[in-house]
Amino acid sequence: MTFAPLARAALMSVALMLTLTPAHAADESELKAAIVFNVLVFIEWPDEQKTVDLCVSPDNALLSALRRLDGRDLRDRTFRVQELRADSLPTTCNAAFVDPADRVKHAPLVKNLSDLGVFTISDDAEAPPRTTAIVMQRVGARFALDVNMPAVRQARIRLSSKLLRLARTVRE
Amino acid sequence: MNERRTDPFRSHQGPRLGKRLTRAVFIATGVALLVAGLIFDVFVYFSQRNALIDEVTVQARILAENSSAAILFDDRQSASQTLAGLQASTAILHAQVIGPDGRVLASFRPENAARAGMRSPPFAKAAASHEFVRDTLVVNQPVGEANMTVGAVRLVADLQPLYARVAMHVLITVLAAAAALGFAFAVVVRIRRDVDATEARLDYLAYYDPVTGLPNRHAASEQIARLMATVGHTSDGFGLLMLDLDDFKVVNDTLGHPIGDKLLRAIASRLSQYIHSTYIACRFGGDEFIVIAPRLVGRPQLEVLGIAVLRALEESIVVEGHEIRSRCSVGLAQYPADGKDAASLIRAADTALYEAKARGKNTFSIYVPDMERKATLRIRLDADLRRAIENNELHLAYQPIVRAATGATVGVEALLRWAHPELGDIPPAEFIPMAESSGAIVDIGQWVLDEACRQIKRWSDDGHHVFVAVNVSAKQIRRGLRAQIDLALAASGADPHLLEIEITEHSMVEDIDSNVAQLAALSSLGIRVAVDDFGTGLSSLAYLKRLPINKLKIDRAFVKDLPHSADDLAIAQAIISLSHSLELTVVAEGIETEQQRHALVAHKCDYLQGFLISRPVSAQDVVAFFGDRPRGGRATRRAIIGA
Repeated sequence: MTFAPLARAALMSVALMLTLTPAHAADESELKAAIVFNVLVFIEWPDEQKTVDLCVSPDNALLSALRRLDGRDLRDRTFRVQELRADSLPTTCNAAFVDPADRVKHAPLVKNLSDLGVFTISDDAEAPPRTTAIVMQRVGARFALDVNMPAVRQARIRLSSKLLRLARTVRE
Repeated sequence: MNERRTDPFRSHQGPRLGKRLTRAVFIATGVALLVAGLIFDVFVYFSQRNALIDEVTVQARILAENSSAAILFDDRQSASQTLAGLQASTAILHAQVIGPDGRVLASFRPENAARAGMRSPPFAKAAASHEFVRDTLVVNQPVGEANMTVGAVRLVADLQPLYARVAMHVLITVLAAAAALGFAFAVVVRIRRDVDATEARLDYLAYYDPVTGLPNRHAASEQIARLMATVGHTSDGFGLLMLDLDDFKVVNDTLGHPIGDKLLRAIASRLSQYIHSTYIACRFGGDEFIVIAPRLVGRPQLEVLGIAVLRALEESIVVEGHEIRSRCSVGLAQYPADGKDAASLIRAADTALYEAKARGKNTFSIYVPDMERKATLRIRLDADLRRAIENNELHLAYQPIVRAATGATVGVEALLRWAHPELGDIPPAEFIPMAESSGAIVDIGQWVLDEACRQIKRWSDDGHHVFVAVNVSAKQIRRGLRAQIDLALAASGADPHLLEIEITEHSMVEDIDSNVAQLAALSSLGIRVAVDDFGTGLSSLAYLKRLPINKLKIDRAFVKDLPHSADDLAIAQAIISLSHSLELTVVAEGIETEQQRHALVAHKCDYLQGFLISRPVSAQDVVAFFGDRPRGGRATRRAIIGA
């Protein structure tokens, strides 16, 4: 797999931060997993919260890449990856990653997430803006982030202005 | 008085204190301003530099804070946008956002940056730092996010604006220092004017006498030293004249010091007019002047100078309506003959001056080596005379005075003798003037009165009722003669009728009112008064009527050439007839020949005294003459007293 130098650099920064696996091990899913992790870095989590639980569907393409990040430090909190079952309510999720396949295969789950107002990140260009807080999309050599503020507000968290400044679009 | 006239006496030129003051003030002010300015400018440089470091560091921190997301998401555009905020900052030459691997994520250069060049060593430092590279300040600021360092921001700031600001401060400091120096200069100029004037005045006073405007003693000494150096080269020697005003004290005492000062000024100007233009008149102190006469050598030339100076003061001087006839005594000496150095030359002139005074004032005298010896002797005698009474070195000799008609001794004149233990008998003509000038005459006079009265008493006790004539000086009279005589009479128990006081004509007329009272008091005691040296004083005869005197003594000067000198004979005759018509008796003194005695007897002189009859002899020896007188009781004594 060939990565653009910039994408590799972004991954390296995550690797530096988290002392993750060497750069040569990175592939597209690992890169996306790093971006998801970095987005969570720029969220101001409540003080009493000691873990950041990212919920992912069992057959999500990034699951294995994200799992490798499980247990890492995220702003003095522990980053954890949870597998979401179709029949369970995602009540313990702080955030969720949904890919295009999830929208088709796990529609009820996605609906639950949106109903509960979980902070949702997606790489699906078709993801509904109303319930998806952040959508990442490859644009040439890099990924662009689109932020949907109503969904962010619904998740009752605050995004760092630093992240907002990077966003390609911020929808109100 | 012209203080700024040409003078040869100032060895230095121009004011020194003023120059030194100006220099000192400028150096002190300059050093103070330099040190203060340097400290201030160094302080300004470092504080401005620290301010720049703080400012750039703060900017770097802000950029670092805002760049973390861009680094993490590898967003060059965002990083560039963040750096674009530096456009407003004038000092920043270059800025970089550096990723975790040292790769430059974004870079910024202001559009108007004249200088460029980012020397960017690879990112290695986790801590913030700054360093100075050439004329730039390089600040490294790590970019952190979530407790981790994810990259760095590096800013390069231009130091030129800092230098420009510091240079401006230096310029302001220099201008302020220049203004301060200018102010100091203005102050110093004003002070210096006073200092210069004071210094000039002090300088003048150091070399000139403020009363007369003549060079002073100090200047004279320097001039003498200078002239001495020329002898043997450009001259054969020079003359020195010393002048002392006779009786200047009288002018001061009677007319007051202001007039005395004016008189000194007038004399100074007279002197300057009468002496050669190359001669220098100086005021030596008090009423003493000296004239330094360059290239004047030889006795005849000295005499010419002496005469010229005496002539200068011959004409009376009018000061504020007072016509003052100022007389002076002058002493002259020459270099190198009379002194080897300035002090000995001045001493030689002074010795000659003393000699001139001793010769009767208003005259000049030229130094001869013998004077020094005489002067030394005089000083010694003067000192010894004060001890003569207690050492019993004084004694009285007696010269008989006989009745002209019979040759009988009626009295004696007591004459003072001094037998110096080392120098032998000192002539009265030598030591009496000395005692007069030193004031010792008062004590000596008292001793003479005491001794004469004791002798009267002894002779009376032995049956010799002869009178004893005692000479008294003007000083004794001024001190109160009556008291002195009372003391002598009381101590001895002598009969006052046998005491006769001889007063010179000069002393008699000096303070006639006081003398009349004093002599009247003596008369009331029965003491007789004779006028000594009559005919030499050239004074009015009117006092003869006023004074209670009994006897005149014809001075030996008129006796000496008798009977051959018709003039002297006429004078003697006139004195005798004058005396008789005023009911006074007459004594002729200094009779040495039989012819003189005959002439005086023929002209009815009452009494005679002189070597023809006897030299002055001791008290024991003079008794032999008493036998010549007719022996008798009170009748004889009355006759003596009546004489």
